[in-house]
Amino acid sequence: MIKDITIGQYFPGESFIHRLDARAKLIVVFLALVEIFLCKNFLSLALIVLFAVVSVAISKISFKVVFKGMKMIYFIIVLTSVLQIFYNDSGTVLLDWWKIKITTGGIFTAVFMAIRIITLILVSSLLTYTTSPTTLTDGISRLLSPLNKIKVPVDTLAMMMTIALRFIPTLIEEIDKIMNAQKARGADLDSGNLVQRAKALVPIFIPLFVNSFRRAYELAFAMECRCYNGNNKRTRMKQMKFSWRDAVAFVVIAVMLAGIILLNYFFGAVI
Amino acid sequence: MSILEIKNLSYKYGIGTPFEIAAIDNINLSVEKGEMVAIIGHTGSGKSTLIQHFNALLKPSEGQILLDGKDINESRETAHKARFRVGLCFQYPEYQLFESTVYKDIAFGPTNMGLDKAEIDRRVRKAAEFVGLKESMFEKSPFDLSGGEKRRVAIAGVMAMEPEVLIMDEPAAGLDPRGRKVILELIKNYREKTGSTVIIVSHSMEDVASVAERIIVLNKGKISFNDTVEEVFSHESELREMGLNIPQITKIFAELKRYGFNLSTDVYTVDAAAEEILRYLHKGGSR
Amino acid sequence: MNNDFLIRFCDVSFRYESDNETPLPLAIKNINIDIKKGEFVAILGHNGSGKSTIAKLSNAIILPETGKIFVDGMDTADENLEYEIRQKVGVVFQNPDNQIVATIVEEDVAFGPENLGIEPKEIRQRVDDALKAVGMYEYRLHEPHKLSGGQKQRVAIAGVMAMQTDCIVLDEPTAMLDPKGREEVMKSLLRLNREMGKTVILITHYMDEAVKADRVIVMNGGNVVLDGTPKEVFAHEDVIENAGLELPDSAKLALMLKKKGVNLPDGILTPDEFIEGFKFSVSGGALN
Repeated sequence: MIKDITIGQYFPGESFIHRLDARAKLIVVFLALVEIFLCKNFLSLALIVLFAVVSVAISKISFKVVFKGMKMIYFIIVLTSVLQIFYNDSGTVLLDWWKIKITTGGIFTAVFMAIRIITLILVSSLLTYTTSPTTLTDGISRLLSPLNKIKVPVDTLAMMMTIALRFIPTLIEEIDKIMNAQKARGADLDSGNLVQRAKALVPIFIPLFVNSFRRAYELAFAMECRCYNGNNKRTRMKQMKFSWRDAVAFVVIAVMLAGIILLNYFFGAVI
Repeated sequence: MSILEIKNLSYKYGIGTPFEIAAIDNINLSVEKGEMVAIIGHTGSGKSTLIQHFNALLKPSEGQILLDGKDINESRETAHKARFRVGLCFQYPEYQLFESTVYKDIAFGPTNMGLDKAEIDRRVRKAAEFVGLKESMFEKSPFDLSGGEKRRVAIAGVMAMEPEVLIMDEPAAGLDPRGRKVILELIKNYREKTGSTVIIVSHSMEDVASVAERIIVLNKGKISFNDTVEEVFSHESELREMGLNIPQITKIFAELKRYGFNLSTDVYTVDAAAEEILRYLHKGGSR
Repeated sequence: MNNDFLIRFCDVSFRYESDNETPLPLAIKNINIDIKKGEFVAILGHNGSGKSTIAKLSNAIILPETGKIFVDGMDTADENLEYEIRQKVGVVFQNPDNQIVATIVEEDVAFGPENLGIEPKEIRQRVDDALKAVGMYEYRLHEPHKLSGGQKQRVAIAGVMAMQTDCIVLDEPTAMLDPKGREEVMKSLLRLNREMGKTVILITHYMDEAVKADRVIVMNGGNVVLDGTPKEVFAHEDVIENAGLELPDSAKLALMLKKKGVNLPDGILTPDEFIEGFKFSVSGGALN
């Protein structure tokens, strides 16, 4: 099941979106997220949805993959929007029974919230789908590099992040192996009450920890052998360069911002 | 009488997607009671997937696994019992040790079987003896042992369940020559003393040649050969294509035979080879 | 100092730190080894014989308790030379999963040169060259965890190559691989040595790999017990077996037959050599 999660996965490609500079992509996505929250009516929301959908289309990542990745959070989307139904009691009353009161206002907000969350996830997952984890951490560390001046070890943090990403699949595989080995010795991992289940995890987690420490130790040696010591002045093979594409992206997101503000202003807020 | 029978077994990943792959493709085989069989194949040949069906860790997409004539996947209960009746010792089993003492770790399997204390104790001691662990080590932490000792503790942990069928996945992987020999010897010894069925999974032909009676070669999820050691080793070029290697001795004998030396090809250990060559020379070495 | 020697171990002893009061015994006892430029050396020994310690000592990851180690004339105990020494001697370890740092093959190979502060353009060139040298160039954009063991190990070798080291030390690089993976790695190493002139130190317990080396060193109990060409070393059956090792099967068979009076040439190590020797002596002797 862990393997089904596609959020955070990277799908290599050569599209316009793939080829944007990681820093530009980070800024644009951040601005897009802000714009999603600025939307006050369905027209401005439609504009940002259009932006998200067109972006996914340009990235050539299939919508099937994108929506499959959201499977895990459908529950959250439904829950948040349903809560909105009861929270908002403006507009015409559609149903008033016992303590439950559903109004057109409530329905509107619920639908609005659902669209908003889905767009939010769409835009942010597009970032990870089209940027390799290493490039992404690289981009973050470069954007945050001014923090180096106030003694925040940005590069070291970025290296930790890269290694964590590198070892996630290895550790998932390892958990799988250990679980099978213990099951083969009759360990019962999926029955019993909460306490029993927690106890059943001991034979999984102890070897996992022991093995992870061994891995970490060996990795540290290997990194040292390759001249890493935590405070080198490192260069990077892949240079980050802003190109015309990034300029286009910035223009688009700026036009969007203007559009949303105008639409909000002329058609009023419903939320 | 066959203890394990595999009927039309297939195992597929990603069923219903365009990426459907059969890791195991319609396999039929049977293992006799008390037999020592080797399953050989390179990484990715499907051998690990196959053996995980033998103790119901994996459920077949199609087909059946019969243990003593009964389908092990008949119910949750039979599947759970199969774990104890078919002991599966994974590759690098030392990485699964977790208890605070060697004794407790070996006792993990028997304890899960719900046996009483006296029986558990008997089994732990017997298993420890099989792998050559002294009683003085029982109270040690398994994490303080050497690599070879850890491996033996882990193997004992599976033997202590006293399974009818013992499956060992690459038991000698990563060990030095002496360590390999010790492990293979103790498996041989275990089988002679208990009379249980043993299946060794490996990609090392040298290891397998010295212990197994029959070799099953797996390639791309299918059985390529299922025959005596001699017969299987006679297919050198096919084995090579599958990324496998025959033992040096077998290679020498096959080649000498090609040059016209009248030698038996039923030879794959150094001792047997020396004997056969001496026999040949004493006879006057006729071509 | 003789410049032909790339690595010199002079009276080196080493012991690992103990968790408690009692110190551990010496892992390496007063050894002397000189490695020439361009040599292909195999170091054999059972687990715990001290052979892996040699790898870590050779590029200043650990320092000797007594004695000195020189890499191209540089003392490994000199902290200021640490970088330069590691640029000369790279190490590849047993478990390929635990030495790959990045999530893309080419980014991992670039890791070493990036640490050295090399210009991006030059890194690109080195990474491409190194990947081509080990036959992994087509896989440069792959994720390392999806590669086979042999491929991962070749990526690790490329990672060392990209630092333009003169010498690669490999600590049981094939122990976790299947026959195909082992063959791939051996092929790459022979190529680096024969075609590119790299010095290779291969720590292993596979005899068939040692046979392919120019020189074999056998360790036992922290001591060097044999040092010579494969033919010289494998002539000492008793010392080899005492060291917990075994002769290659072909050599074992030849020796066994010779003891029984069969007339075979000395120094048979491979199946081909055995077949040649056998054909020659049998047809030259018994048949004619």
